[in-house]
Amino acid sequence: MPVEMNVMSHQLVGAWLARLTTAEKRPETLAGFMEGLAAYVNNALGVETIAATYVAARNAWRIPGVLEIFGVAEDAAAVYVSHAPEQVVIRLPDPELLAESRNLAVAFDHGGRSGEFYVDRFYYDYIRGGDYAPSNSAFLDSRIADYTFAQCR
Amino acid sequence: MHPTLRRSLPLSLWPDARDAALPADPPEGFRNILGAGAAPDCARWRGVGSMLETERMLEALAFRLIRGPAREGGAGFPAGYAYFAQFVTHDLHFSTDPEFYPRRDVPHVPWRRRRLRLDSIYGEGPEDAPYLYGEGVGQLADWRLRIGRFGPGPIPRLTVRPRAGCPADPRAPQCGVDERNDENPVVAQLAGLFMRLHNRALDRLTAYGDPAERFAAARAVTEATFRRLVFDDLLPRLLRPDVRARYEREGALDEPFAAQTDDMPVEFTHAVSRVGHALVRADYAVGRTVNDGHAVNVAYMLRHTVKRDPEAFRKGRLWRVDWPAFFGPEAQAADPFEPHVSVFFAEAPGLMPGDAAARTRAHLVLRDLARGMEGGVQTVTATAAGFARRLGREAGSARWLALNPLRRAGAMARWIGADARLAPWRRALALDPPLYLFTLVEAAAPAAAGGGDALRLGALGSALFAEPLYAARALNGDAAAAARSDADGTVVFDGAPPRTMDALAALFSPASSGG
Repeated sequence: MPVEMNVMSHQLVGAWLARLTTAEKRPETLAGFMEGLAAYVNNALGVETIAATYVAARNAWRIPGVLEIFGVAEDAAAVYVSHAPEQVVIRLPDPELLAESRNLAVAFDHGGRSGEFYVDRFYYDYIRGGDYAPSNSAFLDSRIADYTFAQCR
Repeated sequence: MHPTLRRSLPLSLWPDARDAALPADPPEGFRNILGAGAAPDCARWRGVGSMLETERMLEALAFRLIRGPAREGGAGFPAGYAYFAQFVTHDLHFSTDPEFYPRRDVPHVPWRRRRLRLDSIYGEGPEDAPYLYGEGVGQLADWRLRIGRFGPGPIPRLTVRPRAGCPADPRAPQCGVDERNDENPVVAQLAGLFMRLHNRALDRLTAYGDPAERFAAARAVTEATFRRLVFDDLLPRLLRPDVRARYEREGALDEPFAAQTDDMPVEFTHAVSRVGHALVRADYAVGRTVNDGHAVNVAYMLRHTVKRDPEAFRKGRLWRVDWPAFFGPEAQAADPFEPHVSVFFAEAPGLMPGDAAARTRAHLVLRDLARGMEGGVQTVTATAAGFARRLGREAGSARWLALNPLRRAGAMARWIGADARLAPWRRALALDPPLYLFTLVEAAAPAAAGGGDALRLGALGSALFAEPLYAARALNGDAAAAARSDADGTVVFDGAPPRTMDALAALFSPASSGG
């Protein structure tokens, strides 16, 4: 089962990742990462209702409305990587997801199945402008979330 | 203030209208329940005197309702029923907002006779509102409800997707006749579901030769199916079983008044029907075409209608709702009935045109509370007194929060707890809470205290929700027509009619050949 990530609040998740980028200490477990994100979201929104839970039936860590990570163990470790002059990190797509997505793309291109790849709307809103357009800061945070958790579908 | 924004705000939130004294009178078109007009001043909620000071208290309350702790777990029913309830409340109080429904189109039919009749999709019928009709080809096309499309889509051979709305016709409102049914993609596509049911009935009732008679028969089947789903599927999920049983046996107390006037009781429109906002989830898995079937944030979901994002829909975005995610055994659950509204929903941008809700302090929950204040809703004590003889006959009702002021004050005080923001109004709120808030606290209370165990409305909330529905059924039910529609229904449904929303939706699933 491939690990899948579903970002539902790109700006909030991206802002949390941006904070971790410069943090001296980062959570060493996925549980710590999710609980830290929940606390960050509570603080950002001024609420105390957001919580991270592990849904054993789906092998998923989940924060409602914010982020889901499927196919992971409850006690999964969290590892953070960045490029360095001596080491470039190349994150490859999950082979299973890649194959599935390739099949979908071919089907879409040939009209064999109605639809198109789902793309989060913040890109469209940013380019189009108007009432829903995010600020530049919000767009930056959203992009951080998208490319950090992006996967090939 | 921008005129559109001003229109969308409760009166009390207009900066120049905050010093008005309370209690307010029910606005034009509304009344207090169990009466033909306004209840006496002493029976209507007056908050803490002026609108200005009361609004401060409501702000603190709204803050608590959004930001306070929420309990784990869902309501006792699938998420789609919150939206079905929304669709039903629209049907009960058919909108004649002149912006969307020109005065010249408003007919001389008493509104009270139009409740639970699906006027929110039929409008004035194919002869008087032809722009709502015209689906398919052939002699019957003008008698079929026109169904909006997702599309044309990026692929020429793309299968068109049903949804409510007729955006291709500039004379037509964008979502059938009632623009409110384009508030979010779920309620919009629920409207589309009933439109498709009508069209299916029309196509199958071949025994009727005259198109007008065939239309009437198809509408009768559609209406009967809708009413059956309201009373046999929706209400058992929303109401306490004992209260619902009482209404099934005895009907609505408000019926004599509902028969006299078109005005709607504000205790329903401005209080109990709004507590459904607590059922809205932080996220929804909408369908296969949306985010690969994974959930999306509710604020993001809400905007995916023609009304909220017309440009995107002209480009053919696919936002088809997969009904098994909303109705049936595999569906995601609604949030629990409790005094809490998801922050993502309450402050969702796009709820108010051209404005971010948070910037105006007029987020959804504050607007809910303010509408109750300015709508002249009765106090909990006065409202409960009107139902005391009915509810008081149930076993254990002496302990119910609605009927026992001491217990009610205790429950309210416990909910307020040590919240410093609410401290200045702790006593006022404990003794005389807004009906909207009490309905939520009552719903979250144990069943033995007259509550709903966070699974459904409590005793008073159930009675208030039941009233206009049972009154409408009594006023508009026609036994002869119902019997005829039952016979026709067997033709339309190849047997027994659907008794649950998932059974109705299954008729139009991609796997079904009958749609």
